[in-house]
Amino acid sequence: MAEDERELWLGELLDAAADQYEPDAERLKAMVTARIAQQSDEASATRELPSSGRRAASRSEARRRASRGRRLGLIGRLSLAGIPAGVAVATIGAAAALAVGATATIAVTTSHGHGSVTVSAPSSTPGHGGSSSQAPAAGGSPSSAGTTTPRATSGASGHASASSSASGITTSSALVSATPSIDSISFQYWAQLDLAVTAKEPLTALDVTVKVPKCDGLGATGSWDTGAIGEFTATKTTNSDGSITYEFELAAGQKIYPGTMEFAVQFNHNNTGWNVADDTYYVSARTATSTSASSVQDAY
Amino acid sequence: MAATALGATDQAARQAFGEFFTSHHRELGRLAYLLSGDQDAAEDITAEAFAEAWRRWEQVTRADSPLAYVRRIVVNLAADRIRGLTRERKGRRLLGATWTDRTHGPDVAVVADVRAALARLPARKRACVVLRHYYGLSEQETARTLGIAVGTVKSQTSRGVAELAEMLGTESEKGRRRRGRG
Repeated sequence: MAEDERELWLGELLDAAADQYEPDAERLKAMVTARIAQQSDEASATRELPSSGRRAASRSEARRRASRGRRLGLIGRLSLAGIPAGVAVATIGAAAALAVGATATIAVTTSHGHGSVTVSAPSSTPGHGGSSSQAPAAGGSPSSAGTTTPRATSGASGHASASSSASGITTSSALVSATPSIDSISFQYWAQLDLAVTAKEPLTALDVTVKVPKCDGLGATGSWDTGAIGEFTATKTTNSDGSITYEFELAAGQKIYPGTMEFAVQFNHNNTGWNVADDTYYVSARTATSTSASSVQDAY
Repeated sequence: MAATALGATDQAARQAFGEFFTSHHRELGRLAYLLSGDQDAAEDITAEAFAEAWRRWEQVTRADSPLAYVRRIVVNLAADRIRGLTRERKGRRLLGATWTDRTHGPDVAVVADVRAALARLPARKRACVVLRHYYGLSEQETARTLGIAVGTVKSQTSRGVAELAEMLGTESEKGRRRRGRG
């Protein structure tokens, strides 16, 4: 009976703890919509692989995406949710078959820099393979969630089609590699750019900069990294030409071990003025014995 | 090409999904919150879970309980996320360090304690405790949600509760200190 009491008491405490969080429905909806759009993108990314190589390639794709940060690759997510990879791969295959009118050249290879996270991705939502009566049509985003559709508009360019973007394209040097992406929490007037940086060897110096050129309404709102407190010194500078430079510098005496870190920068911008293709990053690294820095750079 | 033929069913599915979201996002969000201990993480997990649910909407709607199905997705995502975080922060920062935000209302200290204490339980134990004592799921339902044996639910839950009481008991003079089984 003492135990019953204790459990009652615990139930109340858990209720009280849960009450401290009130989910924001609109924000959540927007996030769901963005993810659903991304599912379509990921499905199309595997389209061109021959079936024999698909599984392995998809796995490494999943791993690469996972290392990008909070989002997991398609396979990763499916297997997390209890679906064996084999089934997941079959699902992707089905999705690829459903994706109408998309040619085999899209993903991976092209359009570097024309980044645009758009909700109107061309392929179908996977997972309904073969069952034509149930398969949601192109677009894949539930209309209910459509009201707050987030859209990282690459305004000036108007590349609205893009199931491809600079997102996910890794650039590599001897010591580091970097993979940029537009975080799916971005929306019409605000963006977060992510950069996953992988150290291949122990580093004694690491400097990460992200530059966002001037555009209408540009204003830095924040930045973060997954380093421990005090590991990186983060600064953001508004330059005389109106651009913003974010810099993360490994503090003196700190050391980075091989692995992946995430750096994110955030800013406001006007609806139409910002073009992610203009944003660039630069990563420079040294080991204790380096004679010169090893660096990577590219546009988002 | 097929898109037009599918239009009607598609529309219905979207609508059903929208209603499902409206009815359950709060509850699932809070589950994610209790499991992850962090509002940002909770939001992320919840969004991910709904996206996953849409991906498999047909299965979800065919399930005996669509809600239970999606709840299971939430639990899995939360567990994985916590594992990932623990790896990432190992030797740097304790997971519990994120449990310091927003304290208001009565009994704040105890509530903060309970969250901190929860965070110290291993993921599966925590999930057992939350599903049994916050959701009031039966042992069988909990077992199904987590994909583990009923016996495991029993032992993990009672140990989890005992450990929580242990962690909380010393500070709160609730007079309910008797610890059952170990």
